[in-house]
Amino acid sequence: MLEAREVTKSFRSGDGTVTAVNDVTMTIAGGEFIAIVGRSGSGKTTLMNMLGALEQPTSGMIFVDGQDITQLSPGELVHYRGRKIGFVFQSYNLVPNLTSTENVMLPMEFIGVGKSERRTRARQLLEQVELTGAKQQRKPGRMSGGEQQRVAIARALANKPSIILADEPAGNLDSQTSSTIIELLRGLSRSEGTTVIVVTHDATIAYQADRVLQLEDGRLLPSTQAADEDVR
Amino acid sequence: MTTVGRGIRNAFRNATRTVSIILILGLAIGLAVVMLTAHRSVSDKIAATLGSVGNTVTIGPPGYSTGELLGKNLTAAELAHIAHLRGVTGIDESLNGAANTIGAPQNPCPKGASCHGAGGHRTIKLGSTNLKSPMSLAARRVGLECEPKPCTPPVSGSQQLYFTGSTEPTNPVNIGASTLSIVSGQAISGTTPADVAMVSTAMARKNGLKVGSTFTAYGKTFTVAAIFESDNQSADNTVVTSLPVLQRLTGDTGQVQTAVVTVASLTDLAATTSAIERTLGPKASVVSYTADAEKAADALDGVKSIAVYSLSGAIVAALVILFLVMVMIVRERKREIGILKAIGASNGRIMAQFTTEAVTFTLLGLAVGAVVGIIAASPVTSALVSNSGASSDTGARGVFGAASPYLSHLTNIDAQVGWGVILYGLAAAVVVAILASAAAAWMIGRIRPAQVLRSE
Repeated sequence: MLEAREVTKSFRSGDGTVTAVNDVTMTIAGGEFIAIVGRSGSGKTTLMNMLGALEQPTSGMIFVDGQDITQLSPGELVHYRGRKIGFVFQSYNLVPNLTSTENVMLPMEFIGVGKSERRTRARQLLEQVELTGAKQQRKPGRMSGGEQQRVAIARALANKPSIILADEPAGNLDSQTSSTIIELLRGLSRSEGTTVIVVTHDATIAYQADRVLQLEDGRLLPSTQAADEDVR
Repeated sequence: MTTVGRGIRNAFRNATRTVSIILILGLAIGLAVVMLTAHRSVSDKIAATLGSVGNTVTIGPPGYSTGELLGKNLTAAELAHIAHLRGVTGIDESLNGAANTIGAPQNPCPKGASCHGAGGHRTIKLGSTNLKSPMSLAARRVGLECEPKPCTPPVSGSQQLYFTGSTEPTNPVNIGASTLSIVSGQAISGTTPADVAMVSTAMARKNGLKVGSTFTAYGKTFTVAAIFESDNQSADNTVVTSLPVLQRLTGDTGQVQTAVVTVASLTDLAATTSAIERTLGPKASVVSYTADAEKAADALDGVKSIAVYSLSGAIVAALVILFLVMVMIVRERKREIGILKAIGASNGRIMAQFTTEAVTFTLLGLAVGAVVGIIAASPVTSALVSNSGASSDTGARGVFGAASPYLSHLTNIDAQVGWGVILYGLAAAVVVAILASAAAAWMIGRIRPAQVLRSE
């Protein structure tokens, strides 16, 4: 379970201060598939980064499985990111000189999984996202956007995280590939019980979510229904 | 793939850049290897020379110290008196001869006469031998003259061999070298009456000699007892026998041309030298080369200073080059570092990956540098030494007109890149890589993944 309590994030900008996320409180149950929508600059990505412990909130608390991640030491944050969170980015962010398999093996190496186990699991995950044969040995530069995003999803799943944070996962993909990727995430949410939080502009993706959270000027709108209507 | 594996692979990510970095580092490291080799070689030479000169006194006929040998040879009976002086621990007595090789004009000096060099009135008894000289035709001319006139001047060095009879045949001073090592057979005794000899490897090769082979000289058949190597190329042309054998062959029975007296300690040197001078009087010239050696070594100290400055400069250059390269690489891969952090990599692990990359660059640079060093160490050291003003010509003369037998090869330095230098280079390369990675590590620690990933 994930819970944010009165989370605020402010940045200094020029002479003033910009509040990107303002007093957000929310609770997400394990295994939910959540879509966070909002206009550009509404604070979606900042909220995601704080949930993934890539950024510290200016104030407020974030509990993941009962632990306040805002109080973690740097070493504990590394542990948290490595074991509890899986990131999927809009521009895939694969390591360019590593093959698909090696990219998927990477997070497992960071938590100390043995080499043969890493390789076996990486192959299984790539097969799960329908990348088989020679494609498992290709480097990102020789793969399509959809294939790269599949690798990124497999990498996010590598350490069996309890939460997957996907920031515009289909933003650079055509509609057909986009729907395949979302189906994949949704399927994983159901089959593995993984919490999936997707930041998106795409109404069709939001439609498929269990719940839609809308951000506006850093504030979370109170009604899910309102968010759903806005998306429609 | 592990952190180290990724670091090594990343070093080859951009082939053109990698080759450029390795070549530049290789040149800097190569210069460091050359200078380190030069410094060690010069230091070793100075230490060896001062060590060998330090506690010895050389005795020759009157005029020996200036190269003008005006008097008669010394006798073993005269030298016997100084053996009992306080501080004297040993005496190496020697006599020199020469023999014309096959094809050279025989008997250039009238029977019973003596031939001597242009620079002085040194007496060297000439014989003949069936050996061929290993010296090339370009070898220097000895410039011997003969008397009484008229007589045929002796032939060039390439057609003449030298013989040295000594009570300590393995003492390198007898052949004007600072090192002499037996590579085959057993060293001869300095007192043996048998016609046995030691020849250089070059002489053995030229004449197809092995231990046990025979040759003729002065009308006698000699057996090769040992084959030696030395650091004096001119010594390749010298045959070493025992003192009694050469005295017999040259007819100089009981005579000695030079004697090297070993004194117990440096503190006894001045007193013992005075005592020897008093004992032998005007019949001998007594020389201690310590001051000469120190003077020559002072000039070589300049080479050591140049080597140290250049070595430091080369290491700093390598450090700066690698530092800038690593800063550039980290800046270029900020985003990738952010990704690694986002998926669970610790700062330490990422720093280790980049340090491995830096170490890979420096080790490859070291490999290139070692090749540069092996090629350039000797000529660069020779150039530094020859331009240093260091000279063996300090005024003191040896038996063949050269300067002091101890100092004649002070400037003949054989600079070779050894395993010691390579190991120093290896250690330095790792230290340079770690230091150069420090800035990269600092930058890595400051990269915030949220910031670099936001710039999508």
